Amino acid sequence: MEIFDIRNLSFSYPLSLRKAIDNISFTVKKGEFLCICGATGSGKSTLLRLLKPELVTKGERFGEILYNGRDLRSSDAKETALSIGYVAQNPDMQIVTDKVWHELAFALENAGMSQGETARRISESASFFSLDHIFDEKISALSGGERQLLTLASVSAAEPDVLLLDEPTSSLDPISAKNFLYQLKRLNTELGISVIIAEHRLEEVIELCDRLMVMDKGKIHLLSSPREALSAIDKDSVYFSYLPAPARLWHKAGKDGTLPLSVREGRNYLSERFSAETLKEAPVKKNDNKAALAVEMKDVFFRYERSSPDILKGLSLSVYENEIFSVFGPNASGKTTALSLLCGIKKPYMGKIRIFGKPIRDYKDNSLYRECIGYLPQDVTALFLKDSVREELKDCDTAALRSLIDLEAMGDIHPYDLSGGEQQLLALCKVLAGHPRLLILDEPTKGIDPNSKENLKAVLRQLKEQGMTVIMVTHDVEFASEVSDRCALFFKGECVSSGSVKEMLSKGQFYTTAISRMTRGIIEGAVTVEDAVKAFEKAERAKL
Amino acid sequence: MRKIEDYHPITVFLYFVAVICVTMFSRNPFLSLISLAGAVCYFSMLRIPRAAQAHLFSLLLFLILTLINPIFSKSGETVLFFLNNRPITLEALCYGMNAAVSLVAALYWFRCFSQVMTTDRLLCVFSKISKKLALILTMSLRFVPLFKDQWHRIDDAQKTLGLEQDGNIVDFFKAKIKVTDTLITWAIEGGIITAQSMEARGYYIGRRRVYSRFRFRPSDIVLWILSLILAAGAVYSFVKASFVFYPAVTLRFDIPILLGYIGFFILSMLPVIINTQEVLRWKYLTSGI
Repeated sequence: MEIFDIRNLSFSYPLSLRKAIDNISFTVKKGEFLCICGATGSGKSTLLRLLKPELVTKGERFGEILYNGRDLRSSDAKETALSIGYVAQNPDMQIVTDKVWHELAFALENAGMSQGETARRISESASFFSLDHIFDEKISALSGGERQLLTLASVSAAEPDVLLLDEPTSSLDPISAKNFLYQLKRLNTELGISVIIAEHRLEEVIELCDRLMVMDKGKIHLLSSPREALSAIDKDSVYFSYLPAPARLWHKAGKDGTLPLSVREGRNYLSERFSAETLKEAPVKKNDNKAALAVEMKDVFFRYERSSPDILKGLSLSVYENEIFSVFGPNASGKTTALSLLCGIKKPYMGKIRIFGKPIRDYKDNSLYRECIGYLPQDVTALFLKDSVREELKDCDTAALRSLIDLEAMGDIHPYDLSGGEQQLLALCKVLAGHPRLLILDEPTKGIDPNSKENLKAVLRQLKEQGMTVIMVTHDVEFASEVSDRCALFFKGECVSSGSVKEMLSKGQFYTTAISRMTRGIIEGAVTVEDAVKAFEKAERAKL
Repeated sequence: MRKIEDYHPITVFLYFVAVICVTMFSRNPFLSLISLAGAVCYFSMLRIPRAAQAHLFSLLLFLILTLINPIFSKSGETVLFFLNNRPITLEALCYGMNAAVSLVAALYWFRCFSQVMTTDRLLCVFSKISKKLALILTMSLRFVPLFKDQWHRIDDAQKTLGLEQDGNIVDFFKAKIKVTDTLITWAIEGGIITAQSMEARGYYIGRRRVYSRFRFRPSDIVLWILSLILAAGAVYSFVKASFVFYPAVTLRFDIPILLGYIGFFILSMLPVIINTQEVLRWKYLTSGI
């Protein structure tokens, strides 16, 4: 039995010549977990919105959407409001009330449910998602991951038949994202709720979904089981960067056997191919850095208020000039706080910070921000003050920026209407216009699609060539492993270890890349897909 | 265990309204003193942090209010002494003292009120008056801290762009206005998402029914009736006693008026009585564990 039957659906926004959805037909079975991926503007969000009658935007629609065998437009509004659940990207703005219990009850209040029924449902929902310990909390006291989980719990308290999720994990760190998707899968398997999720972080979702749909310019590019779909995306496809690392390795290493979806399958795949010999990667070159220090932090202590606990407890960190330095660590380990100390936004109560050899206190009258430091915060929209991209870049005359932003195409767009990746580049342009020597990035890959990530990688490499020093805080180990020279691990306000990326990631058990976990004991020292492919080619040559 | 704080918010709200109204609108020193006694006892029971400061502030306020009236008022026939050729009368002093007592008492009641009526409770009361108003209040409680955080985030980001110059007050304000302007754009943008999220969860589909975690119990009705009767008794005593300060302090006194005072004493002490009884019951119950 199909829950959704979509027949020849087309949709175009007013004043737009291009169709956002172009003649799509597919069905979603009851209890199915469908994942939709695609570049920004491929029509994922539009499609999801068309399936939720309350969110249908103005525009021309052709074709049919059958929900439980009936036309969606003639379905009862009271029914679809509760039975089709919708979760969007930004948890902060989706939450309406100030307390956890009230948010859980919101949809039920709207439906005019009785006190007893509401009490039962919100209690059940809170215990299913293990939100009972924060049931009485204020929303402002919750972490981002808890907030997004709360929006999911709130929607499922209404006991929906199907859940539509539009990139729900894009503003979450990988651990919270994993937890969110795991809870979603539980809803799917334990309660049989159908799930349609738009997502571009395929690493996590690929093992959970029954079918994968790849959308391209409003059309269905691919729709099949995850393994088949991933096998069909070739090396030269624009979607190649969407693949999880094990699948990319499989493609690059000659596509024999079945495509591995997970690290576990990847290990089996490797050990089948290289049973006897252990491939040795070239030993890691000791990085004897003779460059001057760009940043030096020594025994830095910081707390927000006199009576609050220390956020940074004796943090020491050195970053050399002209290197890309990544900082990993769990949430609340003081990563972002350390960055705001480097930017001079906050001041430590003890300890020394030197930027390019000069104590940070001696940078007077904004001289820190003039040709010295550029800071890209986590939420880049905080940098935008104007109504269009062109105005935003008016005072930025750097010619090099032209390569980052296509002013012709995007000049008149409001910065808020850009995609995550484009916003990131625009923000970078604004920051680079100050000619900084040290660029500080906070979670630069959060919420941007894989192609934008590739783009950002290229930009960072180019900046390094021009002599820039880059420090970034990130949860995205895969990204960092490909661009950075050295990295550090923060824990509880201290820097517990630091070193070259190869060294750190081939030692690390959890804070490391999928490839490193996959190749451990089989290919020594491989961290990125490129490393593994190189080792493969060497082995092939040795065989000949 | 049911302390007065655990009664239904509407019951608690009504109780406070009754006590505070009698305290503020009656000009009778007995009622004012009784009210003050009840308020101070309850206030001490609630163990509000920095209570000593509150007490000191109240004492100062009491002294100032007591002294101001006789300095400016020339009414009253019993002259105590002259200050700069102006008579200071006993009646004016009494009047000032009574006003000060009732104001300080009301202040203590309000302090207790703000401690007891948390946002959840206040919203429960408001939702009975207007559902929309209650929702707007909930949403503001949610968005005020959110906007505050975002304002600081934007401000920090703009600082690192070198937007703000040190020391120049005009530039400083210009920069802050820009930050606020950006915050408004951000808030409007977010407002669309909020509206959609509300709509997606069926905000427009029909009659909203506000969920409340507070249960109405028989003891709530008992407390309602008790509060109303005792407050009515206090009003009776106030009217019948017809306390007059000028030209001379006069009052009437008989048994029903005395009963009214006793009733108001019970009303003022009700939180203390209920909570002490609960503490004792708790001690008794735990002694059996």
